[in-house]
Amino acid sequence: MNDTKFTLNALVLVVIIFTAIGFFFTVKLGKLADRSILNEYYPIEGTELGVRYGTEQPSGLYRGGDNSRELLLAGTFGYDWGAAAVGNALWLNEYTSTDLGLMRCRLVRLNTEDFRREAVLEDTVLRGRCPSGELVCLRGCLMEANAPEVNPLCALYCMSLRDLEPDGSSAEVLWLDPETGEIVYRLRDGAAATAAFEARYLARTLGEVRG
Amino acid sequence: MKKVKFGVGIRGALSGAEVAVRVTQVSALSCVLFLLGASTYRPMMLHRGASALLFDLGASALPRWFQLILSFLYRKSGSEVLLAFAILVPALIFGLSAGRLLRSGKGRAAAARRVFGLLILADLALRLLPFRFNLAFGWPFALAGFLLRLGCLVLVWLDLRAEKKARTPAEA
Repeated sequence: MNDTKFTLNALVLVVIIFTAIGFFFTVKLGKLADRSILNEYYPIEGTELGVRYGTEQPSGLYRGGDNSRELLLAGTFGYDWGAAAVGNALWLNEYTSTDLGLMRCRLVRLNTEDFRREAVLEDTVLRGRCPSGELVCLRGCLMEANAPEVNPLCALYCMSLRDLEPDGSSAEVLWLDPETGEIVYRLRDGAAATAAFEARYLARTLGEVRG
Repeated sequence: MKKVKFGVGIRGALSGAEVAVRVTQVSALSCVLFLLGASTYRPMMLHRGASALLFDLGASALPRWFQLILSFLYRKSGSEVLLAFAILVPALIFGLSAGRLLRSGKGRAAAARRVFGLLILADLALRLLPFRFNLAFGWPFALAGFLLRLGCLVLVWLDLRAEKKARTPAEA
């Protein structure tokens, strides 16, 4: 039986070595071998800033026209679902990916004077502004692209957080004051992460939602 | 085929505590195999296949406190590579040190068995508490993990009982 014990410990050791080699090829070299080309630029309304997603040039926040764009802050910022410029503050989604491609989103506030980035809410998606001016965010669910209902890594990711469920059942809609960043109203809605979000929350003022 | 016997004092047999150590190590291995598979073929994460079930079962059979640490680490680091090593390295250290302890002098080995039993008992108690994290992988896996750990506890208890019985005549 000493042999059995040796075998299992040795097997774990062998798996450690193969894991290191395997991840080196699949994760590190896989990223280098990715030849997909992406170059998109989305100007942010009301500002001279824009968000670029690129493979040739770094993704991030840029300033300037077509020929003289200057990188202000590197990062994968989102402009597809919502961004808001209020005074010196620019509210954006920031996406980060894990080694295997699990996408995470957080709400960040950028100071447009010194371009300091401040993470305001983790695992939160800014979905836009409602007619009364508040920022409307969705918190407590993972991005649909991760297939959270079937992905076991999502279950592990959410396990140690009380208000994060892979199926979105603990989702919350938050209304933030764009001037101060304070949460002015929150509403628990397990079905918030659906296509009806815009009609239910973005098309109505906060007063209407409060009823 | 060689028969595996359980119980202390049977030369060449696996004791219950050793089975518990192996269950933990095999659970760790099954989790990492999924991670390795998913790194090779990413869509594996997006479909509920056999490997995903293996991951769920393996993760459910790990001690709950260890799962919580792994989850916290994964959320903070966002790295599956780190996660894989955070599973494997403690599994190896646990296997080596537990094996040493269980094969050391009788007194130390018995004490180690008692500690193992208490740790598994504490883990089972934690699993019964009404926290959301206990159902992170769903009811079937929570139940399977509980039963697996309960089986380990029973084996450790049988060890301790056999040991006590073997000692009693000698003392008398």
